[in-house]
Amino acid sequence: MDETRVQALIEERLKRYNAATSMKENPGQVPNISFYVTWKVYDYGCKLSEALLDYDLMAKLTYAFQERYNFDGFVEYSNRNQYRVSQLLGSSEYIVNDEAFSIQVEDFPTIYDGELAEFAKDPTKFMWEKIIPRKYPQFQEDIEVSYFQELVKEYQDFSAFSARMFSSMKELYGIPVLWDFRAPGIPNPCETLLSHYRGIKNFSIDMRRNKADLHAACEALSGNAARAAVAAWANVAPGHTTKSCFDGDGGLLAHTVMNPKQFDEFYWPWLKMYWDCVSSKEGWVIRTFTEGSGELIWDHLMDYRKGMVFLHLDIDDPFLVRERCPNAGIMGGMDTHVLGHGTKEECLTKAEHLVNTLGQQGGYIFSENRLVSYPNDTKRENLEAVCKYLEEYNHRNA
Amino acid sequence: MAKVNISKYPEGLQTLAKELELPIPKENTAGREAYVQGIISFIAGL
Repeated sequence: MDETRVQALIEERLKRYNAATSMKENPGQVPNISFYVTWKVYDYGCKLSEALLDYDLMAKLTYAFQERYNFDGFVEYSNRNQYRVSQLLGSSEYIVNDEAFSIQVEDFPTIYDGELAEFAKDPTKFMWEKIIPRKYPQFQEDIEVSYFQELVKEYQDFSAFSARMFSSMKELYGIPVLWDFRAPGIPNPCETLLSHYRGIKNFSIDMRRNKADLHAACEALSGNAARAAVAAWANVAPGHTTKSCFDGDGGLLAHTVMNPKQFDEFYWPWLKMYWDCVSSKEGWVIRTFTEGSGELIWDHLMDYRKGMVFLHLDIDDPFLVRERCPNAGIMGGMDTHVLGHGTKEECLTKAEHLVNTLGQQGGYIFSENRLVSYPNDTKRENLEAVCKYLEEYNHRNA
Repeated sequence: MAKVNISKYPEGLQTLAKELELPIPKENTAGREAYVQGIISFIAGL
C-alpha cells in the first residue's frame, strides 16, 4: 500500500473514531475494532507455541489477519503474552496447549496467608526477598549476573516487538493506535494483588477476614503512585485526542470476585481517583473493559459526563447497558458464540441489528464481546462477512 | 562476571544496576536502578 493511501486510511479511521466517540445521534459511522487475540494464530494455521516464541512469525500472521479482514483498529497487537520471557525464567506458570489452542495461567499466591502486613511495610523489599524467589526458585541462591543479562535482552526484545507492532500496523495498514496516552493511569492495587500476588481464592478471603491488612497492602502498593499521578494530571491539557480513538484505557477483572459492598470499599476508591482526573479534562474519552459483568460500576457511571467512558462489554447485554447507562459509550456486542457456531446469515443479522440500533443512536463501537482466543470462537467465513458488511456500511455513509 | 543474590534487597538491586549492560550510562545510578526495578516488577507480574 503506498504512503498516500495509508495516510488517507488513517484520516478516514480517525474521522470514524470521532464520529462514534462524539455520542451524536446518527453518526453514520461505526468503527470495527478487533478484539482478537490468539485466534489470529489459529486462523493463520500455525502452532500457538511456535508463534509465541517467534516475534517475526507473530508479526507476519497479524499482518495477514489485517489483510484478510480490514479492521479499523486493534485492542490487542499480538503482544499480550510474554511467553518468551517466561520460558527463559523456566516458569511453569504459562501452560500452552497446542491442541486446545489455550494458554493456561496458574493461580498461585506469592504473598502467603498472614503476610499482607509485612508486605505493606515495604512492598519493594518484599518483592525482591519473597515474591521473586518463590516465583522463580533459581533466585534463592547466588546466580551469575550473565543470567540476568539474558533476561535484560529478552525484556528489550519484547518491548521492541510491541513498539514495532504499534508502528508497523499504522505504517503498513493505516491503523492508528487505539489510545493516545497523554497522562498517567492510576494502578488499581486490587488487580495486582489478585492477579499476581494473592490469587483469587486468597484475595476473596482477605476481603472478608483481613480487611485492615488488605487496605494497608493496597495503600502501600499504589498510594504514592496514585497521588503522584493525580498531581501530574494538573498539567494535562483538555481536549479529545486527534491521533487516536481514546485518551486512556483501563480494564476491570478483580471486580468479578466482589459483591457491591466489597467493590465500593476496596475497588471503587482507586477507580474513582482515575475517573475524577479524566472528568476534569473536557473532551477526554476512555475505554473501560469489564470482564464478566460490569454492573457494579453502572450506577457510578451516572455521576460522570456523557461519553466520558466507553464500556467494552464482555457478557453484558449491550441493549440493557444502553438503557441502564445512557451516559456511557458502548463497545462490543458481537457475540462470539454466533460468530463461532452460527451461519453467515445469523452473524450478519446480529451485526446489522447492533449497527441499526446502537450504531444509529450514536456512541457505539463495533467489537467482539470477549477476547477471541479459541478455534470455536469464530468461523473465518463469518468474520469475513461481518467485516465486509461494516466496511460497506461505513463507505456508504461516509 | 560477578554473582548476585537477588533475594537480598537492596544489595541485589545495587549489584545488578552496577554490573549489567543497560541502555543507561554508568554514572546514572538512579536511572539504572529504576530500569532494573522495572524488570523485576515486570517478571513479578508475569
